[in-house]
Amino acid sequence: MFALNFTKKDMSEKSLSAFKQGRSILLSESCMDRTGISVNDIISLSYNGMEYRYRVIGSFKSRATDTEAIIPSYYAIQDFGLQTYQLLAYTAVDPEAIMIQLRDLFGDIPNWSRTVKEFITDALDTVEAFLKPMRSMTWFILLLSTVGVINNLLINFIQKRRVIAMYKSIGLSNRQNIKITLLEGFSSGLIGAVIAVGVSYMEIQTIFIVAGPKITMLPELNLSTFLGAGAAGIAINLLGSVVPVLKSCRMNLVEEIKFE
Amino acid sequence: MKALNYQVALEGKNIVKCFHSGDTTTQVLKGISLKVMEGEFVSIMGQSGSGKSTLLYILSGLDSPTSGSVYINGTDISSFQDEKMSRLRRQRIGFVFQFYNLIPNLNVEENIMLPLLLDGKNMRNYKKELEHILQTVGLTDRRKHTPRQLSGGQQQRVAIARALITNPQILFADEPTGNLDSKTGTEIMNLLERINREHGQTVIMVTHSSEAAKSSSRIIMLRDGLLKGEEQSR
Repeated sequence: MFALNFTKKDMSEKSLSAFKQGRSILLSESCMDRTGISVNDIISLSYNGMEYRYRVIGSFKSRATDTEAIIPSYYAIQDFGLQTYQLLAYTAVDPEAIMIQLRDLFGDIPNWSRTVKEFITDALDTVEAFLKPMRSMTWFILLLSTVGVINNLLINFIQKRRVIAMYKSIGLSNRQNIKITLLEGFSSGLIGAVIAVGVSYMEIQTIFIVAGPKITMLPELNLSTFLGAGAAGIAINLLGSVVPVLKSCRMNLVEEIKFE
Repeated sequence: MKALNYQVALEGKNIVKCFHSGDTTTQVLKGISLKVMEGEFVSIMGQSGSGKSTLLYILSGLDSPTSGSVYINGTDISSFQDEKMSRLRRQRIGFVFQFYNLIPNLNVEENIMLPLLLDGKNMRNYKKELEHILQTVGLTDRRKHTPRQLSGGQQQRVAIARALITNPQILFADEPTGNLDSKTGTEIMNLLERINREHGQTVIMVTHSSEAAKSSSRIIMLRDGLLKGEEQSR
């Protein structure tokens, strides 16, 4: 119903039946927080000297600041004398058939009519147009950071090759060296991943805290995205360890340690 | 003081080493054969480019010969793969380099114990050995210092202690006094001589200093990649 983001899932069905039975009202979560009204409270709405009692039947999340309450259209006309709709939300078993009828009815008169499905598609298209360049940028940044990480590990190896040769000269085997290098790559990747995930999480939370008064919803974060990003960081570090491992296995000990 | 056992500690048979640079091949060692007995202190001397350091690296397993064989206590090490060779370096060989080759971010104790650590030994079981070796090289009061905080002579003594902690069959030394002033160099040579005399440690050293070579019991002369004779020193 209404494609609303209800606070609780069962509110959708309850609201539908309550709207058919009498004066019912759905309030936004921010409105309820602000006024202290709870579900099942009775509130009075007045218009032209008349008072009407509405039962609060549920709440919904909304980023919009001009949508505070929803009441049945029947009572909007009867109690508040509405003659035209700024927005008409209409439920139907076959919304596409109704939409064809509505568009025929309006003919050439300008109007904005969408089924929920069309509305969601429109919204996703708009968001996609905005996100597409950002997504390309993300891949570009990922590529740059991968090159950066591998480059760092190679420079790290070049700086350490004499020390590795020293270790090998007193008995470090290639197998031990591989273990050490991979462990180093894994642990630095893990530390980097933990820091990166922590900073990303704090950044997202900060955006919502700063924009708090305007965005009343909390961000819905996907744990698998964070874990995936962390795992990718570790994988890149391990990948960067491969070349140092191969190079140190093949190094000429005498050349590395003979001169300072 | 231990007497010589007259058992062969190391034997090199017809060692040849060639280096390739582009189309040019340089033969640095031209078929060298030698024997070193247990408890001997042998110096290898020769002019620059005579191949003495190359010979030492081959004898100690740090480099491999182009042809020929090296036997340590009767075992041919020339064909050893990495794992076996690393174990040999950890357990049966000690090496002292001209430039010490200490790990800069480890302190004296940690540097000395490193070969044991690489060999998977429990450090707690080697406290006595550590104390003994620190006393032998005279670094008991410097045990927590890093190489940067030590003089050249002290660093070389740490390198000697590190080479000896595993009680190796042979101690190799490549120009151990080459980077030190004459006074400190003499101290290091006295230390090596004492270790050889008191503990019967087999020592093979490369040096260009005839003064340093006086500490050894036998001097092998090398010229142009060939053995050119030997003499008893003490």
